Amino acid sequence: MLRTLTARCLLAFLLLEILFAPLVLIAFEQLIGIEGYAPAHWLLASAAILKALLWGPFLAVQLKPYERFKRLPASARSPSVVNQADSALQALSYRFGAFYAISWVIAYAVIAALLLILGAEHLPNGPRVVEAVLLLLGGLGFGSFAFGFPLIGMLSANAASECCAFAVKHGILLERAPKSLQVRIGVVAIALALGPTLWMTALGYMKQVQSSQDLRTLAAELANARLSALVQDSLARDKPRAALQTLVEAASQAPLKSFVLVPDGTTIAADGDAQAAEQDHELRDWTKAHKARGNFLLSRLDLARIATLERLSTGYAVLTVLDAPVSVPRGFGLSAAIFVLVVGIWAPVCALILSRAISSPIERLTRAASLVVEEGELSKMGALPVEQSDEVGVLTEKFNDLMNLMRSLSQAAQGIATGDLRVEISGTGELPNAFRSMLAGLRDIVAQIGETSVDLASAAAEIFAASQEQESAAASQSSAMVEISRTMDSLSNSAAHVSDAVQGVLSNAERTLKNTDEMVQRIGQLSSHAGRIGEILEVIRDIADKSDLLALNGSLEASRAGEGGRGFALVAGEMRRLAERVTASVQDVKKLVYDIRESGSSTVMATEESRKLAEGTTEAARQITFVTQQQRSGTEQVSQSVKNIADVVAQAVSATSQTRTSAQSLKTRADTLASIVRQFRVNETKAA
Amino acid sequence: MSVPLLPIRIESEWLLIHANLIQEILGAQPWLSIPHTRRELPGVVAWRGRAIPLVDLGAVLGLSALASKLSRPRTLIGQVDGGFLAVPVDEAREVQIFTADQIRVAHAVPRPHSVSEAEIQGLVMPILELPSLLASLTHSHLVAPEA
Repeated sequence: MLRTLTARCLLAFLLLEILFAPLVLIAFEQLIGIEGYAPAHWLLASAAILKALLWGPFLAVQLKPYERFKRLPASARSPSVVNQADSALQALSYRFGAFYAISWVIAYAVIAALLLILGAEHLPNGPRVVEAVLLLLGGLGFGSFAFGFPLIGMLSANAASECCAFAVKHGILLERAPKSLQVRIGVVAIALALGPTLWMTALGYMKQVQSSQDLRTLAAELANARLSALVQDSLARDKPRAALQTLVEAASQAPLKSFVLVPDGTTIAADGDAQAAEQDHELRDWTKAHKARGNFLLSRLDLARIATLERLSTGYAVLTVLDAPVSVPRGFGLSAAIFVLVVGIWAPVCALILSRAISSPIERLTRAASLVVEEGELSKMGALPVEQSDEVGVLTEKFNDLMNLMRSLSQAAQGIATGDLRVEISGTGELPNAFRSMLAGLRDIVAQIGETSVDLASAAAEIFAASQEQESAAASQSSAMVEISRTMDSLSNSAAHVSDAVQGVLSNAERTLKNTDEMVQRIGQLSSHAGRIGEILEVIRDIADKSDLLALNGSLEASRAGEGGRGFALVAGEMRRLAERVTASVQDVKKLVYDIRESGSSTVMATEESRKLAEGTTEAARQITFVTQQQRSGTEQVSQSVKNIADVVAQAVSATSQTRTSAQSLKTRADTLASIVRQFRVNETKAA
Repeated sequence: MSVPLLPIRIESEWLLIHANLIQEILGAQPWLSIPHTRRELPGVVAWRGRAIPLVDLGAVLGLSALASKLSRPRTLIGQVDGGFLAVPVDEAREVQIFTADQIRVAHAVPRPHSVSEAEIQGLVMPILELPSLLASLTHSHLVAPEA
């Protein structure tokens, strides 16, 4: 809950309210004389709580921009958000100080009004309390402002610093209107002076009123006692009623009015006073209520008269009325007004003097700092005078030390600027150490630049010589590249001729392959026919075999027939021999057919070989064509690359020429740099 | 008196068989091997609805015997003593008629079951006595089959 600034501020003011509010309440009750009136306590406590409850919403509204700034991540804080938060914090002291004072004034004004309206009879000081309350409200207003204004400023100081640090870190320009420290001190001083002054004036006023009341009471009681003694004495001497009338008239000298209350109910009074007393209903009722019970006093600030009643032992009662209102001496009002006026003038004057005493050295420091920061006039500025040994004096001394340090550093920087690196930096701290480090670094850099410039001049000379050699080599290379380009063109043309020739070979090989396929097909058909012939020959052989058997069996039958079968035996023998010859011929033909089929198979195999050769030739021709085309393409690419290389070499020749010129210029500049470095004055031992 | 003889060839060996013992000449015939028989009578041949013994002249003459399930190009169907037998041969020629004086006692190369010989076109061929052969085979067969 206390993570927000609003909550922290509210808690601080509530804690202080718990400490101070009871004291203020008691003082207020004492001042207006209602310390014994219980409802007044509750009214005052309720008003104090209500007043404190208003601070929370007011702080929440006023600090809303800052709380938004806190809630947002750093990356989402826009310049407008930061400025709004900072503006709210800058205005918070005046706004909340005023609201805090007004809340006090309104709370007690309302309480006083309620008490005057609803419970006037409980205000012993009567109407006179209004003036005192007005003075008291003034004192409360100024006093609470003098308390709330610096306190809220102190509570929000860290938040304002946070906003400022964030703005500086992120390069955001804060739109802060300039404010005067003197005005702030003056405002607080006036509030501090007028608050207690008005409070004490109210207190003095009430004391004056009380004194006047006491005088009135004393005068009334004294007159009543004197008349009571005379009446008692007259009654003891049995004087007539006329004597009592004389005593009453003698005592009734304005502003006193005296009455003797006779036991028979009549009243002895001076001329005209009886009627006036009769018309005063409060006095009449009060007299009736108290005349039989002893001595009583009717005395209030709000009453224009004071009445005192003393009952005598004889049953008579003496009533004396002092008809004179409470009055404050004119001198008090005048002196109080003068006092308030004097304090009202004296306080700001004193505050002005005090603030000027504080701010004048600060202004001198500010002017000096502006002179250094904005105009850089460090040498013209002398040491600032130290008037006091307080915090401002110490600040001035430290400022002078800082200026001395800046001056010595400035002189050292001027020496360095002129090339004198032998200067020594005195002092401790980050800035002198940084200067010393910078000076040491400069010495090293100058030494290194000196060495480098020499090396650079030497390298430039070498580059110049190398560039000359490279230029002539590049020129030779360029002419060689032109020759290579021509050769590559010739190669490309040859590859084109080879490609055309191989295309013819490929065509012939493909035709050979086609013819071979046809030949294989024909030989296959021939082999098929030979197979068919073999089958027919087998049939013939079978027939011949069967004829042979028939002839043999015929021969057998002829032999059985004897001489009659001799002729048949001859026929059978011839037939067998015929069959034998047929069989032999069939065998010959089969052998021939076999030879044909064998030849066909051999031819097919040879043709297959031939086909494979044709296929190989075709594939080889295709590959040769492909390779030749690739060779032609590659040759063309190489030719193009050689041309490009020739162009690059030509450019390299030009670039080398430029490099040679640049190397010459570089050497000149390196010599110049070496001469510049020699202008720096460095201690020989340190440089070494 | 004329004697009809049938020239046959077993491998390179030419023989003559009396033609009147031959009933029929067939081509190569399948035959069924019978286990535990003599190598000269290795099995039987189906002929006209009956099984007749097969006589392997190769085994008889000391030439190569018939391999199982293989036969020779010609099969002679002979009839001896009322019984039939099959004789596979490699070749047969037409019946030759010889006179008695053309048949002489075998003297050139003695062959089993041959007691005479004849000459055809300068080639002397022993005359195989088929009944003697069959008798010896049948008798021997009954006494002791070949181990």
